[in-house]
Amino acid sequence: MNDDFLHRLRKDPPPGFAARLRAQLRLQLTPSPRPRAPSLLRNLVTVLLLGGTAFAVTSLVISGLPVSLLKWYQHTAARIVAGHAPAPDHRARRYGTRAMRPWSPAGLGSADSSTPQGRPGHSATPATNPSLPAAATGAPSGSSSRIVGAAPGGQKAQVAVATSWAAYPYVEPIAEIANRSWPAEIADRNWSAASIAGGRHIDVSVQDSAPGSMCGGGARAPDLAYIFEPAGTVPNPPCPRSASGNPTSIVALPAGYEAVALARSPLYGAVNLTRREVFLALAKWIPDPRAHTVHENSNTTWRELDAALGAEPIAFLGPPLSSAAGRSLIELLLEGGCQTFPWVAALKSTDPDRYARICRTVRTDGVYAEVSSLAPSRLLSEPNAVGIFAYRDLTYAPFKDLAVGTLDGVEPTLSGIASGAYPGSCALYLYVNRARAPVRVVMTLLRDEEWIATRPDSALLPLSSPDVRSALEALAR
Amino acid sequence: MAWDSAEELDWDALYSDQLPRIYNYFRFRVGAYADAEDLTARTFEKAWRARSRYRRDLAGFSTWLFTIAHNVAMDFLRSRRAQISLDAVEEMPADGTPEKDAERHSDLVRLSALAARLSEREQELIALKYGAALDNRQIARLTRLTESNVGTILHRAVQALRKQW
Repeated sequence: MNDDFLHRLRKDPPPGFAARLRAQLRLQLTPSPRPRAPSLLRNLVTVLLLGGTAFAVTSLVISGLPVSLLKWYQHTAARIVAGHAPAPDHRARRYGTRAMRPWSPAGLGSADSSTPQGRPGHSATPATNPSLPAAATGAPSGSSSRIVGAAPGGQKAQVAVATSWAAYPYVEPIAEIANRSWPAEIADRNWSAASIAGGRHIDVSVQDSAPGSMCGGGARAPDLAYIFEPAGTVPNPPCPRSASGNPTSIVALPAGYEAVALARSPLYGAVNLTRREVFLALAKWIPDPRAHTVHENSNTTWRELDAALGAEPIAFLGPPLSSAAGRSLIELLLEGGCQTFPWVAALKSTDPDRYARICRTVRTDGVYAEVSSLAPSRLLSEPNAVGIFAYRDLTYAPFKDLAVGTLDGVEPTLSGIASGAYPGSCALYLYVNRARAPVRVVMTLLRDEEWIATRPDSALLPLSSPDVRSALEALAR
Repeated sequence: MAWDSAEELDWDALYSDQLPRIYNYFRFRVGAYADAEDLTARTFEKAWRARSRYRRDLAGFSTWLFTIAHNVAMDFLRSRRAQISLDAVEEMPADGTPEKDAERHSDLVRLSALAARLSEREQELIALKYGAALDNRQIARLTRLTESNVGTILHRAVQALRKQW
């Protein structure tokens, strides 16, 4: 059998790869623990715990708590949908300066009501923030396809949802799910038969001006808006009062957290960087220190950024830039570092196109490699490379061996992300105009968010069930 | 090499012996459509992490390692199947002129494109035979086929590849 052509295709592994992998495997030479046989005491404890849980659940069912909760939700939803809004004096108290104080997640500590700071990609005064062109955002601007109509009975036929550029990858699938599954779920008196037959109940558009664009009212104003805000702070109300001086009905509900983190092979150890260093290593265009100009990034070793960082070549492995995690990378790391140059940060309001080119463009010379599913083994075999992960990924067991680095000196932890202490984190908020969006719709959206957060390709850290319930309570007040 | 348990393995010797086999197995099995280094690293990492579960009385270490490699390859191929099929079709010239094809692509890409026309089992046997350089007896043990069956399938597959090479 003449098979030389196949034998010739064999080749030895690259020596560098063989050496790196050998070194990595040697790191794992400590004996693995053997599984312990279950002891009598452990069995006893397990039985007691299971028995206690069963008793607690049975007690709850007997006391009827779930039924009363369900009735409360139905009653509240029906009242608001039917137009029984709270009395004006209650609203004045609730929707004043503290009206936008949303539900605060447990464990966050005291919420800071100061103006959001350091949140890249979102302006504290969104109504004056010009939208990015669709080409720059990579997402549809949406307004042209939006049809907002009124169904018989005064109910809206479509819910208009605005999102920021970074939140779009999360919101779009939620809308898809809703548009597919809602006809069966919400075909009741709140929705006209015509709107259900039309198929699209949720229309999503990217608007950097949201949630400020919710204030104006009118047919084109969004009913809901998904916006990333700095974690641990309370979003400022976009419009505590309408033009006529009455309190508005816009409330912000937390919908999840997101964070990106840096990790590297334990062989080279954790990498501790600032956002400014990440920007100077990753951005295609970097500011010239001597003038208000930029030049193409030619940094190839860490030493060029800071002598203390060593002479290793700069190499990053991270998510595709169009993915949710990729957008977070750009917004939280790249823009975060970019904004440490005051004259570039000022461009956001004066020349948003140039700002986006400088602050949101990743270099394409091979320093950053997009990997659709970055496995720990890839980093272990390339110990010099810095991996950029959604923090959520790093909580999974296969990633435990990686050395997780700090950002601006702060280590990523769940509590640090929720409190906003970790600079690579943010919180996703759902702004609701309660006067326009049916409560049932919002409740379904919140449930779908929970679902979307559990998807393997999502970078969102979901809220716990009690947190979702708290958000619903805030909505129904 | 004789080992009584996983903890007594001479890892350095095993690594030197098996690395080229595993690496080339992946080069042949997933061709130019994947990072053979990544899959190789994944295989060794899995093997070493699970070393306490290795039982010499059930299989030789090489057999055990290739079982892990096979699973890694299957996981990868399952996730990429549609794309690989489409790529492979695109790689093939409509008139089937391999010379022209060779001008444009490396031999490995060409093999991947041609092998895509073989059955999964034939592709696996080709990778084990010519990538991992295993003999028919070792392949038979891994695939649970008879030795003569392995020889027959390989002969047929190589003939098919040669015709189009």
